[in-house]
Amino acid sequence: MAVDEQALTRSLDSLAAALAELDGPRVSSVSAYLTATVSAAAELLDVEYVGILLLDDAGRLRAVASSGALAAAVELAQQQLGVGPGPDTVAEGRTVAVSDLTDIAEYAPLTATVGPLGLRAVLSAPITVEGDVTGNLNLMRTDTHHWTQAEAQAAEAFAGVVAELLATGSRPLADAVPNGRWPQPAGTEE
Amino acid sequence: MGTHVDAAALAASLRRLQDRPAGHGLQNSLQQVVDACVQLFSVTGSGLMVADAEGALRYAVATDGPSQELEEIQFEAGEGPCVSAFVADRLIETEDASQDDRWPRVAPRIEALKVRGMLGVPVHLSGIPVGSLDVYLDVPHKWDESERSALMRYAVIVEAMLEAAVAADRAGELAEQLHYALDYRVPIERGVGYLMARDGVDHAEAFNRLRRSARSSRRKIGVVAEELLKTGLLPEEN
Repeated sequence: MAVDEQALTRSLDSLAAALAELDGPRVSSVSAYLTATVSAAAELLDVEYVGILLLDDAGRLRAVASSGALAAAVELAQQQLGVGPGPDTVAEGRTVAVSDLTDIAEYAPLTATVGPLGLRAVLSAPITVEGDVTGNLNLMRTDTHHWTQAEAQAAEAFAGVVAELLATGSRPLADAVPNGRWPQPAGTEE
Repeated sequence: MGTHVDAAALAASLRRLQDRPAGHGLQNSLQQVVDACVQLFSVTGSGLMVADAEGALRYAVATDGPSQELEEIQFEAGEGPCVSAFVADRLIETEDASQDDRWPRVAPRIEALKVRGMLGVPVHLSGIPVGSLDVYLDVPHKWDESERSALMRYAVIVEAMLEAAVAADRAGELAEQLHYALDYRVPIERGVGYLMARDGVDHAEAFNRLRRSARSSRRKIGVVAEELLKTGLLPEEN
């Protein structure tokens, strides 16, 4: 059966938006925690931009949070292309450090999209909840940069804090849904 | 463009997480937060103290033995950098806590722990101070503006974790302490305001009087505040 990927994506997005509205206050709370955390991350980790990609309930990597226009564009490009340090971090479950994006041939589609914005160095640390890699924290710079072991450890520690926030924040959501289960997209019921 | 969060994407991610088995408690979450604090600030240790129902700061989590002892010493003595940060509701710093005459009862014991430079900031829940976060070094240290600013930013993340835990209605002694602080926020703040007007003292001193009164009478600070508002008197003034 042919699947219209774009239509499916639109449909899932509108469903997600409807569900977000259904649980608006709680999503708003976690959104506020993430905003505070991402805003603080740039200063604490001494980078220009910060972004967070998370797997959704359909297993797709989604751009969830970003600290500025460049970060938003990079996260969206990684989500749409499925290419970049973020997707690699989630796939491999380990920190990926890139000193200069233009040096990595396999990231060419990403570089072509966001290179003109000035992105050069990325450090991506996995966000792991209860042993399950659920997303990644991306630190970005517009200069080339050799990431040190200490910087990688700090990014991993910070990603751990984000994971704790998400784990804690995801709990009340279950209380708000009918029968403790979210409605499934049409055609995906068990 | 500032920080942006995509609510629909976030909701979809939270749905993915909701089916996990119930995870560990608030204490473990906070442990992760103070452990990360040590990594981020390159300090010797870090700890978090949270006020109990009598308004006394108690050990919540710490990264190492000296940090935990440091918190217990301050709880017993009712003074120290963490207590001051909480009571005064502002950042407190000391180049060498073991030589600082602001805390004469704890300084000698701090010296034995090899705790020297300390920085403490208050931690809030719904706008009211509920505890303090501290970092320490095992050598004397003059803290600079970037370090002060960074710890205050980090405290915001601790606050987000506490807010999330209370919103999630997590169980446990620590969560109960936080719920208590929230439930009695209004009478405590009104009681503090009453003491400020009655005794001509500032907010920090008024709050400290209320705390001391609750501790010495072994009653909950919220109850003492409610009685103060009813009778105009603290328990020891009756």
